[in-house]
Amino acid sequence: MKPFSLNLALAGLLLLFSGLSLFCGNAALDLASLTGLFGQDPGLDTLILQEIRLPRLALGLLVGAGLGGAGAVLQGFLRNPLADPGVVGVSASAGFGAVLALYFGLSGLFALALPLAGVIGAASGVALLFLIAGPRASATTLILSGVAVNALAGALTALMMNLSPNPWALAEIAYWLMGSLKDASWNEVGFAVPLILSGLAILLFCAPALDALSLGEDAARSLGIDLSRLRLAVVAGTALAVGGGVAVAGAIGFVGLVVPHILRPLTGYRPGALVLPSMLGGALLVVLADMAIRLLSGPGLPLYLGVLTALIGAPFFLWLVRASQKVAP
Amino acid sequence: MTTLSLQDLRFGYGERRLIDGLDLDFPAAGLTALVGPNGAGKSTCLKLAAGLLEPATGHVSLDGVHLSTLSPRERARRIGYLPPDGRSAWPMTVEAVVALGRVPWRKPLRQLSPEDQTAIEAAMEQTGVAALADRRVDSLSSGEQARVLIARTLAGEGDVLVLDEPTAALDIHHQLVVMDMLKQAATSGRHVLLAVHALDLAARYADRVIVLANGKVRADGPPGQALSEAVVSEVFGIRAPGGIQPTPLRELAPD
Repeated sequence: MKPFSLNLALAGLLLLFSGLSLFCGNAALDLASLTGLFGQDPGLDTLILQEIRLPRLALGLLVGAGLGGAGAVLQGFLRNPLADPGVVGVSASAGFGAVLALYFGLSGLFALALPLAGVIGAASGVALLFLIAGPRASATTLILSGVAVNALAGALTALMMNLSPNPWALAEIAYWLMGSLKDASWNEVGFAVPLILSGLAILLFCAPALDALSLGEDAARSLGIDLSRLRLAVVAGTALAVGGGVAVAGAIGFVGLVVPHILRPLTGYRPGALVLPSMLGGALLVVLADMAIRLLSGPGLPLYLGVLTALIGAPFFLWLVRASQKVAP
Repeated sequence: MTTLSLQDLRFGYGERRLIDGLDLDFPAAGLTALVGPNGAGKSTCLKLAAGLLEPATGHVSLDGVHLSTLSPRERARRIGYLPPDGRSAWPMTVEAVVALGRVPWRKPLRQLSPEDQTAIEAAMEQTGVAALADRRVDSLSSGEQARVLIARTLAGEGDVLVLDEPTAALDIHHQLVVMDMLKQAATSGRHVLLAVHALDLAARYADRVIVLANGKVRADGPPGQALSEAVVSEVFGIRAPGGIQPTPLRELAPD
């Protein structure tokens, strides 16, 4: 499939399901509420749309695009289809950064503190990962290093929860870590937009170099690729795209693993051509999963988005590990 | 005509000297084989020549211009490099892999230019992989994969080609096929510098053979002179009465 037609098809699907998702939820809305957005005197339906559904959709799109794009770039950079922001511990590191900001009340000091703490956490996570498992690492080393980064971030997060002053703060952290878009407001979207969009731009900038890197580091350098600059861009792009999202929506796992894997054959296995489609596909998957959440969970059963993606993603990951073992002895 | 020259090169990690004072001039195009026992410094020498390693002392220059003053992109346009295990991590198509040779020439966010396309097609023709253009590289035999990787290096249109063991892991038939291609590239006016273990291949194809031992040049000259009985017994520890001679082999028919 030509990259252009693939991107067009994904964008079309994204538009369609984004539109549908606006009408998906507890309150039944009709098309009239949509036209109310442009009127002078909005009714209740229009308010639901404007203040609940639209920001929730916008945040879902951003978070999904960040996770999908970061997954595609990490996989291309490490030449390993098992790399995913969640699996290798980037999301957990971002979560720890955000929990730290919550714990010390930094988010009360200035509004951007929480998302920034997420970005810094994510950047430390990627940097640590690259430090222990360089791009030469085998799939096993990468996954083991990811386990280590995950465990460290998880332990530090648990420590913060352990030290939390009261059960309400504890519950807040715990629910937030499960990953959800349900409390999204334009405020959150406002924080996430500059971070995630700049992350996406940096990730797209990395894309062409990933093709050259598929022949190995020395070949890539011989083709004029500046690897240290690329590594820096991968760290920064992943940290911004994932960290910004985790800080406002919690950890939504496996999007960065599943989406590039499904789209890879459609891009002729070219890692550079996979980045933009993975962003669109990631956004699509999160929007779809969030619609499913709204359809499945009733008033008495609040399902979390991160729980659903993990329930779908973890068996998929297992299958991918099995499949990759069959290819490489 | 491009001239390549390596002057007073030294390189090492810590105490270990891998390259210990190399002075080599390549005034005219041709096929040069770099031979030597394992650990002699062949790969390091090739990486220095390709500008992928920064020497501790000395410099590599192209037409009198130091490589270190060129941008990575400019350098990449002039020197093609094939690493010892250059296979693609992803099962892309043959054409997509060959197209990677054009990376130093491409502008950001642009499609392949007509010049890129011409270079890619010419490289695939020269290496006989044009018919495989749409095949996935993981479906090819080792011999076909080796040709695709050489096509990738040729597509960059550099005047200098540096290849680390392009014939490793190939059967004798494909060794000859690959060496014929490289010889042809050298005849058409390129500097082809390659590391090779099979001494008879060096004797058969090279215009010039450089024998490396312990990071130093032990012998340098036409195959008959550089691969003499004395040099071979000293460097490789084998007896080769009369020196290394090309084995009288000929391809039966192209595959």
